[in-house]
Amino acid sequence: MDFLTIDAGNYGFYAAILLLSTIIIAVYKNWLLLTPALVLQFLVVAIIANQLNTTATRVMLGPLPLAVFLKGVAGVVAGLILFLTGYAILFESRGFRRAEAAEEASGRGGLRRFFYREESARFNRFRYVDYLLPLGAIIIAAGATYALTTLLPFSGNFLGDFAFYWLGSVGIAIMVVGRDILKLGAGLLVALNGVDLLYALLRSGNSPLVLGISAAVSILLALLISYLAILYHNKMKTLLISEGFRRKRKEVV
Amino acid sequence: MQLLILSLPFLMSIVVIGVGFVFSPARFSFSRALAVALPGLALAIEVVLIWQPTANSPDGSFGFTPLDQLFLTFLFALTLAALGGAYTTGNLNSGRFSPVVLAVSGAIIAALYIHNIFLQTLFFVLAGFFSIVAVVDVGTDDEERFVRAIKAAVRYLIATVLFGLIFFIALVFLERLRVDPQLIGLIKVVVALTVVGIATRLAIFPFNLWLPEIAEIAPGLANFLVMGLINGATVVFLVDFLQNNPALLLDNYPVAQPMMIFGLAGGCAAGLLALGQNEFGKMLAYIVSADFGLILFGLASPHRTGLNGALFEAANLALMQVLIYTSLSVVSYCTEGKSPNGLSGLGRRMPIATLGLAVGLMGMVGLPFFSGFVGKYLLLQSAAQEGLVWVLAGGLTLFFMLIASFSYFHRIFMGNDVPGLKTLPEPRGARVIIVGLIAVVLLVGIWPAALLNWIDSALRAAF
Repeated sequence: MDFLTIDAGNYGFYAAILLLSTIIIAVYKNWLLLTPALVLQFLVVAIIANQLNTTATRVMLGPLPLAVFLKGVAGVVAGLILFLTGYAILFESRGFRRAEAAEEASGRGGLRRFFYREESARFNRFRYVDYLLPLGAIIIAAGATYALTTLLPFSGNFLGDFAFYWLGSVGIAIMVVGRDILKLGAGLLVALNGVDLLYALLRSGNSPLVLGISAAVSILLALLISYLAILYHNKMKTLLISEGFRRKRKEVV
Repeated sequence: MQLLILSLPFLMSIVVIGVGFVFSPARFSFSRALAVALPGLALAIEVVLIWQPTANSPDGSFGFTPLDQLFLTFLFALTLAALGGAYTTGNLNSGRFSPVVLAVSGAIIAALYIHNIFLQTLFFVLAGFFSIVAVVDVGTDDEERFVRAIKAAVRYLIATVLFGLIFFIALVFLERLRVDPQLIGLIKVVVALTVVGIATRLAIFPFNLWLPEIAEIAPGLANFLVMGLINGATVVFLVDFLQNNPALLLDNYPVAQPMMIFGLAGGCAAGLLALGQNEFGKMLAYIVSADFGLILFGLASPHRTGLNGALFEAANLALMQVLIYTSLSVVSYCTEGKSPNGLSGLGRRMPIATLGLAVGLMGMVGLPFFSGFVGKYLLLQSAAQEGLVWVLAGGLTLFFMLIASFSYFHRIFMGNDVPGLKTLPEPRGARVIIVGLIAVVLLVGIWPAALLNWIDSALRAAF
């Protein structure tokens, strides 16, 4: 079976992966789910893009089109960067909690620390309401995608139009409702994927250099997000920007 | 030759990072000196290479227009002054500013040098990414400032990606239009997307929400990178782009007119909002936003005076950014990092920085005998050719800018001294740089003909 060619048999499969991966990125907070979903999305977008506008240049002894290769590599590297960042932050948080527990055990905890811990436990506990906003945003993005694909088709290819509008709408939705730095970064990468697809849909020729620089931009964006996230977490012990502000405001009061 | 031009700043950036890694700039003064000397050398070599006839490739894939050559030379000279200012005010201690300056310079060189519009856009996005590292280079001691810096950086990151996305989509549609000229209706879509993309990059009202926080929080000279260096190069790129595609705006008055209204109305609104800001940096951001609105008006206007005025103003804006932010860096150095908001009477304690700031603000609003006068005059002349309402709107924008600048300047730098405030003396090197920049501002203000002729010749490709 040729996985690099989209036909009537696997059309639905690719569309389903695209939908699912985007929903996971938009809704879930867990990095073990989120980064593989991002990598999968990069790969599916690469295959759809290549199907819409086949690149003549091939790599890896011939079978792999350059566009799929570059996009795939960019996806894997960006996903790996974000995964390692998430893992490093998780590791650091565990260390921080251990140090706190040790201080508590040695009687150096204090009332202030107790209240802080209570507050952050309340803030980080599972609540259905936290998933309502991203889900609502996804539903709105789905409506917008349906409307735009049917009312403003521009390429003559339904899958291409649908994928572009879907990635663009969901990317923007994630940026609007995302609360932490890594989530915002994932939204930016999803939107960037949408534009890559548009380039494949409408470009008039092959440009390996544009594909290469575009892949480099995705990787650099992931690096920058990782840099900002680690910098922020090191100081504030959270990735939520609003949380940092709230804490500062309380201190002032 | 092409490879050398494209790779030199990035290679030198790696060298500077390596030197900083081995000899921490916070501990070794020679490392800080190298962080100025090496980028200075790289940028000087770049300027020499840019002017070589062999820089332009025979097949047209790589090349600088005369306008690119002129502006890159000017912008790199200002960048050297900014590096000098950063050196004297302790902004090089973290070791991040110099490599970022080189990386941003390398990205804008590539953006103007490579003749592939998609790649040019991607390189501007990369320049924005690199500059974010300088924006968050604030240290973590002041927690509130740090949190605000990260928030500002995330907003700027989103704005940078949105600029790239929107402009990229415009270019894809433009490509489609070239292949199939029957799709004439797409022109309006391409122009609208282009203007929204560029307005996001240049922070023209109402697409300027990312800028005020950066102008308030980021280290002074990082602001020059964002608003002076990258945005100055973006204006040149836009001129090249519009001249290569005259059907979009230059030969299409019905489409150009709404863009002119957008620029002028955006400038007027930003000027008005500058009056209501509660922090000095935010007020500066709105003034810059108003100025870029006027520049967009000039670029979209069908008159030659408008285009010349817009380019002159873009050069003036970059010069003012260096002067204003070097002066503010001196203020920050002397007050040991205190925000100037809430202070007063700083003029007695730091007279040269105050003078630099006063000249910078007067140049920004375009008072006579300062470098901003000619650009503003040409823009108003172009507005006058459109009608009385246009020139009144332009004049109102300048009036708002003037009132906002002077009221904030008076509040912070004039008036009574703050009792008990301890300040350091102004660094001697920074004084020299500020006085030199003031001399340039006055020279260009009194004798603008040379710069104006250069811009005009560059536009006619008559160098």
